[in-house]
Amino acid sequence: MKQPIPFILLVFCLLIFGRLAGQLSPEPQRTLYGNTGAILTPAGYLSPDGQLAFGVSYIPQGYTQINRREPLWRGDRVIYANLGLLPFLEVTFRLTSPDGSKNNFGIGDRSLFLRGRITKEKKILPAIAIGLHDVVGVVGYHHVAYLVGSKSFAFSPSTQLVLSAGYGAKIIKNVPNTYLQGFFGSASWRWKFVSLNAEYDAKKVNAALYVRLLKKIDFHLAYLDMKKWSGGVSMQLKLLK
Amino acid sequence: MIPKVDIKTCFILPLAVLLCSLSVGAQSLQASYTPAQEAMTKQYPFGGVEDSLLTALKSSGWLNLRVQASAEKLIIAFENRTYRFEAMAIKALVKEVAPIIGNRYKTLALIVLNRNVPIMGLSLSLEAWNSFLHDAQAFPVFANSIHTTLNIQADWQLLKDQPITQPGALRTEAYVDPQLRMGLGGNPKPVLVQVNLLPTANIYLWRGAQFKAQAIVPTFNQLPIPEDKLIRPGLIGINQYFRLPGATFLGLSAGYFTNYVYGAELELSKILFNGRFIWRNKLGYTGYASFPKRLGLEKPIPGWQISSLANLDYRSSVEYRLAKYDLVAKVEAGRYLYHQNAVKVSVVRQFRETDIGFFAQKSSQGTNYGFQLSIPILSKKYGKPQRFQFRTSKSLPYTYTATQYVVEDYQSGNDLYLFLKKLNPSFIQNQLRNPLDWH
Repeated sequence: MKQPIPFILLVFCLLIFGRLAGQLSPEPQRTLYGNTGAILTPAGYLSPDGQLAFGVSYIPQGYTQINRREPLWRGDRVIYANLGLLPFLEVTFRLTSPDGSKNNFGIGDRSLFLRGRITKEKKILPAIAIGLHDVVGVVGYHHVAYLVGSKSFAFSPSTQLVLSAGYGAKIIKNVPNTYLQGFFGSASWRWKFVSLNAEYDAKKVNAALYVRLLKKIDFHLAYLDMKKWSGGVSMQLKLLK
Repeated sequence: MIPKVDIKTCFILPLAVLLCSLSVGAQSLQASYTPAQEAMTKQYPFGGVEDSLLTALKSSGWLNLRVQASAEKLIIAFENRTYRFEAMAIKALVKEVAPIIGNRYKTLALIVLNRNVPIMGLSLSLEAWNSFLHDAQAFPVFANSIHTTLNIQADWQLLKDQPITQPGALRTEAYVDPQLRMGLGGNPKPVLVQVNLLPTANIYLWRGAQFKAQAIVPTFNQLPIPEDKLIRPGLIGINQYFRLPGATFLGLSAGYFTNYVYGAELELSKILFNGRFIWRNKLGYTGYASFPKRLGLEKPIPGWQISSLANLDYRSSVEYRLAKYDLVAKVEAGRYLYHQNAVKVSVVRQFRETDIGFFAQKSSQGTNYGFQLSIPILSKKYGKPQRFQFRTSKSLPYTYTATQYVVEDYQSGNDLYLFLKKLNPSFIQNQLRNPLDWH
């Protein structure tokens, strides 16, 4: 366990607030990688059944999972599609391609994220999900398996606090990924269409502002490790009405 | 390597299948559309409200209409070529029929046809419908009164000898299908895109028969395949299917198929447990054919390149439908084109008109996996069917494969499988029990 203090604080908050505040399942927001979560860390909620989202984001050099070791490389572009395939299963397809590289990386790294629900959020019980990222493919740059729980607290009809905590590890050995290796957690304060987020991603602390427009388009502005800017935009559609 | 052309034998099988189909179809056509019956289509067999009903349904564009009434039940058989989505068509028909017949019947039974072949049936309570019209809160009662089935024998026996109002045969439907292909490239274009337009003519012949002719018109092409830059033939062929007793369908296709293949294909599908299970078997006897001649990366030469019929392919699949989620899990195994043995596993969910799924396949060459989707294209409703009708395409399909180990296969133009999917009883029931489009 590298830095357990933020995790312990989050669990403590979950237990305290879980008994004090009423439950409210919030509209899930997506990470810069496309799956449901805060900034880079996942949450225990899943995309609603039949919701399809497309998005693009930019991860600066030093915060990507692929170290390309090139002087001209500035960061990675991420294109993703996220789908609530079943009420208890979320699928994310992600394409990561380098920005600024002169070398031929082809189409980029393609990865599939699967996330399944273990429990739905109840009055005290948090929403718990299991995630399995990038298990099929050649390299497994984004491979991780994790368990994460989330709890939401409504202070008014338009104001919520969402807390998440989890633990991630590799189940496939010899993959280069260092993402989500250990305890992680996040807090999200949501007011109407604006959301302020802070998280600990098992290595660093990140912050972000999310704005949702027309109930369909999300703009993400993130400050990774409190040092570098990152961001993205996504759009969601409902396939089931 | 392409076998030597044997022009004498290469068309024998397709021609034999074609002649067989024509012979059966001609008898079927004769049986269905004698001059006397054509005349009968102009006069209605009922006095009163059923006449008004048939007049209204005819003017709305429903085809192959048949009506039979008993004391408490009204049965209507119809074919939809007006709405993109069959569930929406059924809702539109019910909304049209119910006000005309009022409280005369307790139950409305519908038999949905495709190419004048009955596919599935449904029944609903008209009393519950009328309650719902006056009180939106009564929708659950109405929704629960809707029952769908593939066991339509009893109702169809009452209808099949009824005169057909507005026959759907000998009509041509023209549309332009989009085709999207993508391939891997290098810097600076990591993704190469090809967009083709496929102008298509469907000629509905007799019961169960359709002739399809298609051209491939390249509109945007980055793939380095020389013949893909030329206008060339797409699928050109005839397809005939029959509904046999016990929800069994037999399909027969012959012609020039997709993926540079010509020949004949036989398909036998057995549907079990009201559409929960489908056992599907295909047998194909094909040869290679291309226009223009393909010469690798060299400039293609105009003219046909045809090999003799030499490829016997066969495959069998079992699919299970998880009705609650409209999710279809399928396992298929067999011998595909070019003597390639493979096993395919797929899971596809139908989100109303959008299909999204994942697949994995293992062949003697290697393993592949990816996703497939089909997105509906505007518009939802077409013009009323005419002898020659132009409509927009129904959907844009796309398949992504992660590796180069593609199991080569072809499409023969048999779209029965698509209809069985769109008209699966549990899928239709789920759609009809959704309040959307009922108001």
